[in-house]
Amino acid sequence: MTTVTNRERIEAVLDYDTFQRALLIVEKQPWLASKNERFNELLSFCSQPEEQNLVLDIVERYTYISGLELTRSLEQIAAKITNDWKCSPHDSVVVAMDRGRHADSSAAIAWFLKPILGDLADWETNQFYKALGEAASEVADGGNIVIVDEFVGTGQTLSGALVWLADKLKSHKKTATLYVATVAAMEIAKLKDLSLTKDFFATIWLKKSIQDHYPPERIMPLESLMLGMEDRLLKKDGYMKLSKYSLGYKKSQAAYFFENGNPPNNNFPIFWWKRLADGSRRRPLTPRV
Amino acid sequence: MQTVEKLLLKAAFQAPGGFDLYDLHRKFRLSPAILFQTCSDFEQRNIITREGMKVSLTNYGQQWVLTNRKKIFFTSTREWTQPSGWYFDEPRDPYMPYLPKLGLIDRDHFINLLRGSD
Repeated sequence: MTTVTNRERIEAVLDYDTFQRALLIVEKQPWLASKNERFNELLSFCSQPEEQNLVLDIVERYTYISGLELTRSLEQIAAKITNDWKCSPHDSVVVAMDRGRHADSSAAIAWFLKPILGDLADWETNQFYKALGEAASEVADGGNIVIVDEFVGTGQTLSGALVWLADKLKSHKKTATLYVATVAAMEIAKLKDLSLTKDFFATIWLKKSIQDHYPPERIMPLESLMLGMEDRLLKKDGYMKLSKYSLGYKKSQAAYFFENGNPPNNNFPIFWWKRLADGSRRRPLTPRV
Repeated sequence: MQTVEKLLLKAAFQAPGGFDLYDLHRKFRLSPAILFQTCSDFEQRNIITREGMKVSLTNYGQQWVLTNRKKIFFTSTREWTQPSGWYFDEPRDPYMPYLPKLGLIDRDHFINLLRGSD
């Protein structure tokens, strides 16, 4: 007798076209193979072929940052800092875009940049900081502060951080030129007032996964289809309300994942929300804390 | 060898002209990702070729399947399902003396027999 394990099988039988598409997408997005069971669960979560098609459309255009792509991004950021912004170790500091005390990917990016910048010029470890406030107190008057992060979504956090840092600098009676460099950012972030920074560089710019990819007449039906899927998720999980993240935080419609990272809440909740409407746990494609 | 690998090779061996991957999905609900991964592994080893949904064995693959037919086509022996060997020991001759396991003997057996005969 042949026993197919749960790891190998999918709960729902797909129609021919959907199966064929899913196969092609796995070929195009090889990271899905390592998330086989989660990908199966996502496809089984869809109740009709239209939903499967929409999910496959979004998964197909998912931006997945692998270790190799991260290396490329970090090298681009380092080149930007050194060649274009002319920031030197003598007059600049690099700081993670974080003001809190909890672990954050921006600190990881600052850390990753150390050896790459150190290879280009004489950067020292004490020129990299993990909290914005430190940069304000450590930068030389008239120097440069390079704020780094992994992902910028709506730009709201960045905008707030720039205002906060500018105030901090004032309180230290200093001036500094602010630059922002990030691995990925959403194009909607450009709509925010980021005038406090001299330049904002992202190695990858992301569009909204529904709104910026379909003709206008299809957007509303597809968003409704997505909202229909969200209806099958638990409305409130702990302190988090699904409505706040509907279509992604501030409806940003992101489809982005940094390998081994914590995905942003700008992603559609069907990709990261932990519970179904009945309260049972699900295994989302890219789990998030 | 994983079940998905066996199913894929069996299907390819039984259909010399090639078979459609969807058939395996429909019949066994094998997932697209696992089928893709398995195909890629066998393609890299030149055992199968895949063109879109159609999969067939290469000449080398046919030889390879025949060489490995035991683990592909036959169910592996599950030894834990068989009773232990001691269960099938040769029966003893009832007239031959033997030394029993003393720890297993009921020391009061004969006393109880005598008491029963009172």
